[in-house]
Amino acid sequence: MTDGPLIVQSDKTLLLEIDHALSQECRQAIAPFAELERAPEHIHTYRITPLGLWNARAAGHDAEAVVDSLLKYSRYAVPHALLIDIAETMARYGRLTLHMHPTHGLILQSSDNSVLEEVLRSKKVIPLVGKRIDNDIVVVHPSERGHLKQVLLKLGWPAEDLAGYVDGEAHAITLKNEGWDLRPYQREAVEGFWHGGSGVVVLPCGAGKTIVGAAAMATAQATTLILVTNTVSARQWKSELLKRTNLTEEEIGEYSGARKEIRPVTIATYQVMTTKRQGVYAHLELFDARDWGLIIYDEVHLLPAPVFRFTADIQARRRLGLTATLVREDGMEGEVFSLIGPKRYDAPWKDIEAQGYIAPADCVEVRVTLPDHERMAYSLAEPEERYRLAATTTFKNRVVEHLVNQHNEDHVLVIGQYIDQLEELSEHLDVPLITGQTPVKERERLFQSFREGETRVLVVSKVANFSVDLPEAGVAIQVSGTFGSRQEEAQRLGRVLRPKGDKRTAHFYTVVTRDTVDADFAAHRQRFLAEQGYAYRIVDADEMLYGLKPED
Amino acid sequence: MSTLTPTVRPRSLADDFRLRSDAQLKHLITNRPDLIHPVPADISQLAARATTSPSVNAALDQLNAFDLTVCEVIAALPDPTTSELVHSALQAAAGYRSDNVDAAIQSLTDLGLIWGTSDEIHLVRVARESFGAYPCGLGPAMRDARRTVRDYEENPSLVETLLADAPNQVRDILEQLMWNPTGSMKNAKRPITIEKAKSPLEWLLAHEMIVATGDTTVAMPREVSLVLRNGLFVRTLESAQVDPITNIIETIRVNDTGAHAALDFIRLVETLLEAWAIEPPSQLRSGGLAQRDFTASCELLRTSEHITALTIEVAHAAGLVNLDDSSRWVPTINYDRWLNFDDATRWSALATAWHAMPRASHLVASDLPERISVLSPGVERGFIQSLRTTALDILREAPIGSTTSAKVLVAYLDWHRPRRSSHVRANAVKAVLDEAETLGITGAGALTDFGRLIMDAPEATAALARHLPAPVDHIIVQADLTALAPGRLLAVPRRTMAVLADVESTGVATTYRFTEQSIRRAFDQGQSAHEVLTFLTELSRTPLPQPLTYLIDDVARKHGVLRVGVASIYLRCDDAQLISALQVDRRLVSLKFREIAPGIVVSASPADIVLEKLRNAGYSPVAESAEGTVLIHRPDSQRTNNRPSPTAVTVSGPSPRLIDAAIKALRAGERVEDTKKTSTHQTPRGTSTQTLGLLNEALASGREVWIGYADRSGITTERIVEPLTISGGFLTAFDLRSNEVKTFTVARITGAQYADETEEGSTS
Repeated sequence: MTDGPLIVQSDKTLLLEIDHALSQECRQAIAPFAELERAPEHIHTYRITPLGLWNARAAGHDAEAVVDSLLKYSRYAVPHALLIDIAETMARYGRLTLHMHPTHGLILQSSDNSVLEEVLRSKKVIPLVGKRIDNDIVVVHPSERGHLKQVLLKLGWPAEDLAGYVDGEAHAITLKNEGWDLRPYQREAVEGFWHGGSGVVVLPCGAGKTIVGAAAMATAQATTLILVTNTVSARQWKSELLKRTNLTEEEIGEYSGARKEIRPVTIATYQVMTTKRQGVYAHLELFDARDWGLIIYDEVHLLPAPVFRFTADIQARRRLGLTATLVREDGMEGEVFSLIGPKRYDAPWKDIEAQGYIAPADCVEVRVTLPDHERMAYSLAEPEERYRLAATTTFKNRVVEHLVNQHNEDHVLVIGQYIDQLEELSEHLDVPLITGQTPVKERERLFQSFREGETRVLVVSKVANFSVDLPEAGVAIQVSGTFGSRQEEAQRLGRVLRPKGDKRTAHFYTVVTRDTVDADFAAHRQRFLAEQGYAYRIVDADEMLYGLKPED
Repeated sequence: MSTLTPTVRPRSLADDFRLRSDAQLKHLITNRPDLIHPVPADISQLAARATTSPSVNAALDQLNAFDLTVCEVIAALPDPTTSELVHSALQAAAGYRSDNVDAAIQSLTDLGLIWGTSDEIHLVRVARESFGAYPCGLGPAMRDARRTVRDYEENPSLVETLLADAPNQVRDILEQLMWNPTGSMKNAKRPITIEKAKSPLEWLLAHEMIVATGDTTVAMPREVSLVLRNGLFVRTLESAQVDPITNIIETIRVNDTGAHAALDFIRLVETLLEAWAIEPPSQLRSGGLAQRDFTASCELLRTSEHITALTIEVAHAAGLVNLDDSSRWVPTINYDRWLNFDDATRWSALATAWHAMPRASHLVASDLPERISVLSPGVERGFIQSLRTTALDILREAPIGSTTSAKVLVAYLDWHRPRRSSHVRANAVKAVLDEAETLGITGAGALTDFGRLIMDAPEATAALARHLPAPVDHIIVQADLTALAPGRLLAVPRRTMAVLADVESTGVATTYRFTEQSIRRAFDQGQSAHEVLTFLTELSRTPLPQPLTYLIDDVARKHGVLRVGVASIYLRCDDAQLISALQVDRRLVSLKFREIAPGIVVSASPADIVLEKLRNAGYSPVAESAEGTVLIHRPDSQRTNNRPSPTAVTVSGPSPRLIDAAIKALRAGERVEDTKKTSTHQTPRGTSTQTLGLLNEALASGREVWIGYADRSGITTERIVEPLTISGGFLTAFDLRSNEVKTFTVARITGAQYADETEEGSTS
């Protein structure tokens, strides 16, 4: 029995005491196989899941090493059943492997005949495989490589993909190290990805995921397809690539609603990829338009289902997923694992903040009370209207105004979900508004003016949730959101986390209406923040505005 | 054999038994206790019973793989056989050792499965039949019926010579048939000559290496098999026992793992019964718990079906839960006592109950075609208790820290009791080991110090108490509204925390989550915001985070704003807006609120429904008493009467005293038989004075008496009794044949004689 920092629970959660001398060492030991669930100030909670254990196997850790770390750092005796379960789960990975056979092509091989028998009996596997060559080997239709991996994962026998990758069309890409260097964690992330072949890198917003992408391209030295969420973000990728690599304007193409360029490096939006024309996805052939050597998926947690389907068909190409969180609101984490690849690297937000690469943030929830007449309307409202009513109370405008004035030195983003509310706010504060309807050119002009400091306050809709680089933003005020979406919260916080020149603290305000569904959703979203280690305070709007109870 | 003097040759099993000494009979009865249930009248009855099918099969079940093989070889040899023949039949088998075979023959004799002398061994008929028509895979003997067969037997090289010219596949077919002598073939009885034989089968038939035994069946004659096998009856004699021990691990790890498992199991029982106290599940008409309630329990305990079933069954076996008058499962009064014991005592109550219960909880979670409900009679399995004892005994006898696994333990049992080998047993072995681990009787696979002492509850309690981790007296509260108790919390704060917060993760430590509902629950149970904050501040090692204090104050602010009365339901509130909002709220339409005064509305619905609907709609009302004070809401905890304490099933054989008495009775029975044969009168006769005198004498000397006794219809029977008391015209005596104490009316005793003097009595 050690006096270790870790408590291993029989329900497969691991509780890590942060203030313990060995906590950092222990974190490194358990991070490969346990998923960080919550990281508040004192105790971090990890969970052991089959996916996590298989991720660890994919990264070359065996069950013995996992069990050893648990026994080494555990404060109390580790439940025996848990250890047995870990060994059994991990033993399931790699019993089946995908190989390239010199004569038969793609094959599924097993080291355990009974496992192969079991999976070949499944109705879902039968159409994906071909002839049985011998007891342990069965031919796989090359186009079903991804589907087979998906199905095998669901059957609980994840296959290790050793079939390798096509090199793709070579294209020289080098990083321009002018006045900057890859940060240590970025370097580790690229190395982790490259050794693993394909997979996902998890880094907080503002930690430089684009640079990880550029470095991966420089390692691959091949033509690259980059999939991003929207056009603004596509442009940003482009300008970042121009700045960080030797790529020229002519080598980078944009494939979006507006332009359809296919060049050695092509940046496409999810939206255009999933546009249907006469019932078919018209643009999916982009995947085959060139012999891509690398495909980068930005914001993997938002990857739409049709792209998954197509990704299943291109398993021979290297794939890099980038995201701030593997949490998918639709629960498709298993698809990410089997189609893009296992998690190859992740670093907790607070760690990177401690290294000074992202700014520290102060999170505050401001609670407003519904005025009497609105409260009556709220009680009478249909359930589907309630959130909108509560979230868009005009009382919030006063609070936002107060906050904008309070931070009169800083750059402020006001973020919301409902256009009416945003228009009202933009008028109330007399500041520009950016929504989905704003033309791209106008958007870029406003963002540019915000970056340069001409515009100090911007009101934005959810178009600014992702991949808009606004390093100067130091204050974000959210007035409404997509119900309880946790990843939206992470994205919005990410807007203000770029390290500031003067090292000042970022501020993140959420204005919510007390005693309504708005508060319930806010609680759900904030739980995510608190779990990332961002403690938040709650203040009453009345206190803040009228000093009923002076703030500290 | 039993007598080892070939000069006295027993003519039957009964004869053999008669020649056995008391010690030998004692050995027989000890190992086959079914023979004296009830005590047979004499040795012939004993022998008759020892040859019945159930009794013989029970005896065969006890044989290990080695003895069973020897027994099968004897069955394959013609009756009677000799020790020499048995040896020669086995000599060539792998693993043969002459002394081991002798020991096997001796133990078969001791068990009464074979009898006679070493040059004339008889196998009990039922035992012979239990090996099927062809023991050792040897077909019918044909030497007398078929000349060729006799030729093969007398000249084994002949077979080889013939096979040299045989068609190709003949050898393959012979390979198969020499260990499994029967096969099927169309029109097997057709006459075939060597010249006309075409197929390999026909060739074999023509050479009489196989013989038709029916229209479509053929068999290889025993003699041919033996020639092909070079005289082997069996290929191997398995005398090597599997070592049931897989590893030896540090005892400190064993005890720590076990102690935590023990705490975890106590927690499961407590969590389950606390929930059942509030909402007791009903018993199904067919007995047991409904599937729905069982699934709910699984969810409540957040554990597997097997562990949930185990928790329920053990709680029941320990007398902590029982059916109440309306057939619902409710915690007993014993449960309250159990709750107040310390952890170690609570554990030993559960562990002892588990050890003694004849119930196989794993069947509930198994994929049997028909589902077995937990707590139903279907869970009862007689063998499971002895399997537990066996498994624990193996660990207990091994060095400290020895671990075993289901796989090797099954292999070990398969050698020791091959006839009982089955999927059912293999599954049960796994379940027993899993359950022992869950209860902390084993830790990390080895017996814990306290598990070792499970037969002695106080000792086990003391042993566990030494290994239990010290309870923790603090929690760590975090800004995401969770709190962690980094170990087992002291009982008092644990109960308060259970009200204040929802349990999120369980195990050694507990993670709690504070929510609006959980805080409101605490307020509903009468706590105030101040009390809650003081309690948490004192318990928490870290300062309370602002969101938590805010949450508590916020709930307190809302709590009790609305007040609901019971007397024909009124609802009052100072907030006129809210009152009007309530009346127009669509979700509350069914309550039909009516405003009767400013700020007061009434409803015809009962208070509980009103409360529920309001809370569901997001309001936070409290109930009011008639005096206008706030009613404290606490769920009713229920109890029922104790179940009579469960009695452990005895699995030990008959007591030595009973065996001695049985042998006495048997011998007495023999004497009665002898007397019958030689005596001139059937039953003793005498005057009542003589009888009473003799009985009193016998009472003093403790001698056995042979009495004649007339029943109510006047029919006289004979008994052999050992008088215990005589008073008021009644004789109380131990009846040696029925093996029980009986009362006889002295007046109906026709006469009495000393049992050991009957020979003289008859001659005089």
